[in-house]
Amino acid sequence: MNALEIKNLCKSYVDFSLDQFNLTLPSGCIMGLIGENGAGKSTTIKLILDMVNKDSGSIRIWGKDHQENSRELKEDIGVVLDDVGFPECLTAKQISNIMRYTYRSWDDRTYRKYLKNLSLPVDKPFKEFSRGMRMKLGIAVAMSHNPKLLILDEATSGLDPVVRDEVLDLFSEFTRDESHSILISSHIVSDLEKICDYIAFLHQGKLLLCEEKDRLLEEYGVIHCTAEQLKTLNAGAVKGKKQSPYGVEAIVARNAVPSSWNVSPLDIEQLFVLMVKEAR
Amino acid sequence: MKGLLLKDLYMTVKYCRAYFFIAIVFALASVWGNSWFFLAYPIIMASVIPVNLISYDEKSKWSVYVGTFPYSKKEIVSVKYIITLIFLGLAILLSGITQTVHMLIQGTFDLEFLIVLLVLLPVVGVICPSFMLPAIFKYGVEKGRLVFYGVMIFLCALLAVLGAIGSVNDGLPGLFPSLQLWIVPLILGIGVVLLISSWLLSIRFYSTKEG
Repeated sequence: MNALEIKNLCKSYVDFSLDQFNLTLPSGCIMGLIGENGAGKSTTIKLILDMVNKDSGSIRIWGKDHQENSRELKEDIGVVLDDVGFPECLTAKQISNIMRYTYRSWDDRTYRKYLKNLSLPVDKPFKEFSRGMRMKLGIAVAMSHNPKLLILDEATSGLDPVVRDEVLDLFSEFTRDESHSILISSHIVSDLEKICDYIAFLHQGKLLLCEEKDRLLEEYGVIHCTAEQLKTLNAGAVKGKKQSPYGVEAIVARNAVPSSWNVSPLDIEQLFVLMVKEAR
Repeated sequence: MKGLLLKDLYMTVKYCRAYFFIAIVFALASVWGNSWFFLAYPIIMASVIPVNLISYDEKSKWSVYVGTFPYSKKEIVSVKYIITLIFLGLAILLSGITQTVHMLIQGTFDLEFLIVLLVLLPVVGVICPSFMLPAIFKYGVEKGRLVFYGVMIFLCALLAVLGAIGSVNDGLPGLFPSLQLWIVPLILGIGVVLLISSWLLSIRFYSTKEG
């Protein structure tokens, strides 16, 4: 079963629109949403959570309509937004008391375990937390009510590299259970590359690409050549390019390039940056 | 909804302690005074608490974050009305006690007057939140405050008029003989209709609001 299915989703604002957006997240998988600022990542997440009303299209979570079953579905969804918005005066202990009456399956023991593992104080007010600590508390809350789907919007930003690595391990461990899934957006593409099974590129409200990460890395590669050499390739082979006085760096579909060409492996960040530049 | 209520109670204890202190001081002042202002002040203070809580919610971005939790929009709105009623209840209890003590000290205890007072005070208390909460749910705290100032000016003028009538008629109890008995339930009815209309309007506004 798919954890999340988005079909033909549209949402328009005065200066931005999400257009005919389609995305499927299978259960047991982690999908990374990559996009520039204002590409529509947070809007997509808010639409999924019914925090913003869609213009058209459908969003189904475990096969159920996200609006008709919003409350029931949110019992099984853990969310971390880029701004963890707990009231400043509350302590982690008070937040636990509130969450006990918020989620039917709130697990105080798990929460305390996360607080301890993430080195978070129990009795300190939220206003005294650093940005990193706030994100960690948001993650602890999101994971302490036995969720089946985690929706994470820039959840690793503000964390130092060591803690970020620990948190990514937590997310990977979470999806060991095949009924668990994660949709994560981040600017830190290397984080997503580490843990994601699927990668989706968003650019100006449009989905540029949504593919299995391993398949992307297999299918595409980087070539370095001159502008004249590049012209000899099929136009369809080139997915993105960057030109400089020293030559051209281009992302190409490996199967569309003659075997005599030297095609190097790429990373997801390179693929994203060059594809977005091509789309502009 | 219990979780939301508990969160608001934690915030009230932290942020609105001064209000309780001021309300008690004014209520005590009404024991020795004979003023509508002192009597109604705790009620006005109580009616402002939910607005302050929404203001803190906006500042901390809880007003957006709450959309990620399993609460309906109706519950998110309703909890502010429940908080209003809880603190209005406490303020009315306080005013009722102090007015009783006042009448006992003065030797003018009048049960009928006390009952009428306890019926009318909640109506005074719901006027401010009934206008402010829908405005805040529609336009946010900053713009909603304009409505707050308008309502406060109206209430102060009302209290001044009532105070003047009361002093002409030899104190607060003097005001009530001038009220026909059938007017009291009518005023109470208007208060109830006002509060329910405000609640439904707030739910409607909040449901179309985008976080």
